Amino acid sequence: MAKKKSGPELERATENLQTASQQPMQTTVDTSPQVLREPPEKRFAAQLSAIAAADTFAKPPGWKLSPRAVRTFLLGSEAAPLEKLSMEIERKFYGDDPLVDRTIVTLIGNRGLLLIGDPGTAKSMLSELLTAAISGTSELTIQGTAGTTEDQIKYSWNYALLLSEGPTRRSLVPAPLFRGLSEGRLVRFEEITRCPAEIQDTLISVLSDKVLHISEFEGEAGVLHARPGFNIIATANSRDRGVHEMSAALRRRFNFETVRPISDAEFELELVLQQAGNLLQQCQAVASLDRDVVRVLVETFHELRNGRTKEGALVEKPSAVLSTAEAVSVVMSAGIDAAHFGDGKVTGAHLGRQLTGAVFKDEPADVKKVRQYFDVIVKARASQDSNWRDFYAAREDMKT
Amino acid sequence: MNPEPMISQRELLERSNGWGKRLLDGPITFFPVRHHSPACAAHLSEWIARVCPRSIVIEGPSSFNRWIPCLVDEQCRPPVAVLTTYRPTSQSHGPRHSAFYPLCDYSPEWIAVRQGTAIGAKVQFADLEFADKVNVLFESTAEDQQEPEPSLLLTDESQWHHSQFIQRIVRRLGCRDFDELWDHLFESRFGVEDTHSFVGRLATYCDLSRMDHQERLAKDGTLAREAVMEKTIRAEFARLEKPTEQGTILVVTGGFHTVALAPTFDKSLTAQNVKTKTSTKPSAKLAKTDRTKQDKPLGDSARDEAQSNSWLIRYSYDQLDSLNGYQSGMPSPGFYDWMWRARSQSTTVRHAVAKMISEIARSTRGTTIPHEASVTDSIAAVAMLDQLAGLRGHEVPTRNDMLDAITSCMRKDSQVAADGLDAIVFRLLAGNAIGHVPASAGQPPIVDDFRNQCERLKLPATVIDSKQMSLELYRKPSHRQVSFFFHQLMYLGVPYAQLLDGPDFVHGYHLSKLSEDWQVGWSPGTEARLIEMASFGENVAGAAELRLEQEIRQMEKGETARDASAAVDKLITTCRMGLQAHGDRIIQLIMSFVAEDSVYASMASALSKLTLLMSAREPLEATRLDSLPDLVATCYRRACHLIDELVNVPDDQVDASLDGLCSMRELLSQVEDNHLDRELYVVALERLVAATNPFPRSEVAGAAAGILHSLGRLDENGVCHIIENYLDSSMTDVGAACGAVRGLMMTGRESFWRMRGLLLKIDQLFENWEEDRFRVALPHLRLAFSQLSPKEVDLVAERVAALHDIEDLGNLHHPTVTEGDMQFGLEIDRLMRRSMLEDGLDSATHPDRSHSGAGVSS
Repeated sequence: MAKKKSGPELERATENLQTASQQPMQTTVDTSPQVLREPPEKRFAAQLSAIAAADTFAKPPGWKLSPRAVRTFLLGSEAAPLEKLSMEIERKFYGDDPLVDRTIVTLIGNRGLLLIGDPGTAKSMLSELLTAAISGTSELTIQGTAGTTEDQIKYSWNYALLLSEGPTRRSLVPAPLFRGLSEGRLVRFEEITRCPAEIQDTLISVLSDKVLHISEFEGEAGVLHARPGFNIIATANSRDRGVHEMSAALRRRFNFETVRPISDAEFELELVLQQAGNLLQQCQAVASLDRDVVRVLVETFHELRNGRTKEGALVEKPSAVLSTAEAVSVVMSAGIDAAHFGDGKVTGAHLGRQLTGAVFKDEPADVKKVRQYFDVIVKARASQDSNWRDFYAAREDMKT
Repeated sequence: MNPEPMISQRELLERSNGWGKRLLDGPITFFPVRHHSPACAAHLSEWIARVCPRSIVIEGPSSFNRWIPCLVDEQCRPPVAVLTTYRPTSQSHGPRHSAFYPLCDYSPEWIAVRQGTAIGAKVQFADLEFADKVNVLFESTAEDQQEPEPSLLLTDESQWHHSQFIQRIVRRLGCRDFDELWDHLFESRFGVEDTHSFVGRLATYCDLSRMDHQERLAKDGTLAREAVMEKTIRAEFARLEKPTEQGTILVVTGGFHTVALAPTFDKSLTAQNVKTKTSTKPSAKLAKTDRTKQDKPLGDSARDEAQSNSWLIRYSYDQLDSLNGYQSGMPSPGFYDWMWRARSQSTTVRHAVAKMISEIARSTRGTTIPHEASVTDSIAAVAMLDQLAGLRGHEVPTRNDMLDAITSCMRKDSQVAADGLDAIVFRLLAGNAIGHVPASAGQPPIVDDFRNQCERLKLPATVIDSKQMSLELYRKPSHRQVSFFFHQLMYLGVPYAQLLDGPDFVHGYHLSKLSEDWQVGWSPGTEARLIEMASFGENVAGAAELRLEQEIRQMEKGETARDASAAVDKLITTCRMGLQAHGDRIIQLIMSFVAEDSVYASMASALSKLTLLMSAREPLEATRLDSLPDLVATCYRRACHLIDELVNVPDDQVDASLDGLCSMRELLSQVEDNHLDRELYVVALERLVAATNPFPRSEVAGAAAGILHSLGRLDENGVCHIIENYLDSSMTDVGAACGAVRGLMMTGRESFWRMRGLLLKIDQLFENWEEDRFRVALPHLRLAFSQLSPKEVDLVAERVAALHDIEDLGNLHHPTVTEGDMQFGLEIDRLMRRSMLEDGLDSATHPDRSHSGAGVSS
């Protein structure tokens, strides 16, 4: 059995694919496959320069593109047309166009942007795309963990130089926040709520006064003023620690935006098939994914997540995360199962078996809820559809 | 249907370029509007002031002409509505159809009536009468299985929403819904666009959306309606002797109709030939319906008033808000009201919206919502508003721009958790204006309905006297009707009838009673309250229904408790009011509560109430509720699911839960044609008795064992094993352990005289118990045995005696002993004990086991 990827790692992997899979034609044109994953400003370099060439609108100070052009980059040239564009731009973020408008506008203003949402809702992807389009780079990134220190956020020292020269600009090693301020670029702060509150609070003065104090330097040199174009995009997971522990002072300096799971089941199915297919290819498992078989799983995820079946009957929502990324991981594990222990054909039974692993983390109440879903909804469908019947067989595994 | 092949892109473009000129420049101005659109109202107002038409034709039944004097009366203040009702002759007992024609300050129709009258134009309405519309709808859908449901609004705009074309643009432009699309395309240029271009764009838009509807136009009565409008316009055209001056006649209709009406006149206006029939496609269709439909429905326009009538009543923004579920024109009327007022006060819309934002911020302070919006939040939101409007190319900020700005700047948590901010925002955006109608508009229909009903049912309606009435619910259908009426009035809070006594189906009391006793008396307060209720509906039943719907919506929004049992009470109330016709819809709403209720006892009680409702056919007329069986099934499934929760049910719910388990077993045995999945119940019980971590509560386990045994799913050994597990457990609370016996007694008392093994086991256990332990357990065991009748107790005692090879228990009943003898005996006992205690022999006073065993059984 493949070890399940989890948390941000999986999220990243699927987001990566989410963007990559939307341009299957371009992957062949790609000339530098030497790295596993290129940042969006490299991956979409051609598109960005085409948009920049067609961009006639006023740009906020420090921005590489105008707000409208950024919108075109994210939503595609069909939904957000731009005159005189030399190539077609495909849509990169799905499901919530007004959210994109709001995020762009927030970044123009003097408040930071905080994206909250369940894991696997493409928050990080959205923040990468925004930084790539607005600042031309998505590399100024702080990864929030329980062990993140101020050094990793602001700046640290090259101690050899520090000893020989004292605190000079040469001995200072800039961290992403320092660079963002001095270069006038956007800084990404991933999983900000994973950091201790006192570390988070280092952002307060930066966000309100737009300055960074370097206490080691004397006089004017000790104050680094932000150049236009600087702002922060933070992401936070609504599942683990949440934003409640964030200090009120910091909270009011951010605009909060909730990123929701994809609401169109058919589109989600498409995405799951593509991504799981790619992942299976990567680990060289030969498994065939039937659309109707996978649809059973995606519909199940959808209905459990929304608390309502497509016919309108109500379903109790499990507390476990049922994001698109989780669906991909279930399909992928089922594929590996089928490839190595079966005839390579993924059936409802494979999916059902893996579902238990994905949903039953450590919450017995979830097992009950899913079992109830199987007893009532899946059982009824099983009598009419063989895919659901295979899937229903997994009910046997749900004894706790 | 795919609309594309019908027209080429070039044709379309040519056609769209011409709309503005085509509609506005002739002697007849065809002005397309959307009901309750400030942008349309503003353009129309300017147009009337500029062109001064001599005649104005407005979409609306011609019979509404009689309300024009009231509408232009100075005392008339919107929002008001014309309420019209109709009951088809063919179904004199069927439902009465009713519909509203709401008008607010920024309704184009309101502007046309008021401003038109002010400049001395002849103002009239033209549309199919509501009665005819209903008839057309019923005729055209006669072959369908489904009964049509006429819209509650004459200004229904569902055609705008449901067009495939519109759905595609909504998606393409990244709008959330049709309302955002509308604002984006039309309201966002409020006050900056010239009328020609506005009308041209609007007409193109309607033209395209109409393409999807070609097939349905005849069926939903659109063609018949347009035929009437066309006829009226032609009559005006002839009356004014074929005018040639621009805009002599102004036609104000929904844009959807404008694009069909205007082409029928194209030729007639240029060729000076009013009668021409050779025109574009829609016209041919129109003409056809003109011939076929026109004569029949319009012939009997002198319809009986009792059948069809209309009233002008006051209305409220609350009712106008489509977010409240009425199929109204636009959501958040309060927002558009601000926008409209900004125009008349010559401030900018931006200023008005900014003011609204700060109003919302202020409203969040001092409330329970987690983040109170500060002044900086308001500033950020207004800045954001400007930026968003700019980004989206809006000249003036729209409703969604404002909502987005508030979402971004004032919400400090994940949006998934509803935090009350939405409630505040939508309450403010809905507005709270209530209209006023002049006295000349007459009495609201609900008062007439009340009087008519009183007359029909022979009830006092004018004199101040009061009398008692007894209604025989089961025997006399006419009494049932009266009872329904009284319950409706009671529900509306109309002081008229007071229930003194009768069966209470909600609480299950006095169910054996066959009649209801009422105290009935009319007072001036009766009518005062009815007038207050006028805007809820044209009759008492309708008002009760609407009010009920509001209450249910409140429950839905979580403003009141969402437990299933309470929701079922609501359903029973509905039945008591005789509103079963709407019960099915309420059942759908209740389904959602059922899914959320997580207390077994409440679910089981809901289930048993529903069963009661199903069986109390006559007084509640519940047989008419088609989806009741479905609801019972849903409730049943949910209850089965919740059986798992009984593992550690709190003390105060034990009895109710055990009752619930029993009533579910009863239900399964009652319902013969089983649409309830028996297995769910059985398997849940099996899971319950098999649970080990934690062990289920003893009462519950005992009861489950009893039920499983009675259903043949658990053998004697299984039952013994479960009871043994508890009685022999290391539980410190002996009383709790004895609960198993009590539970079993409740659900399977016969086990105690049928299963020799069980008795043997319990007997052995008691034998091994410590004296103290048994004494502590005694009261609990007594409680358990209280389930049995004296005869059954004797039976058990006999079996227990048999285990010890005692055949004769002796005489357990001593009928010769009098009460005096017993008191005497007790007194001796008491004195003996005292003297023994004084002698230091108190340990001997402990009752021995056989003694107390007798105590249990006596």
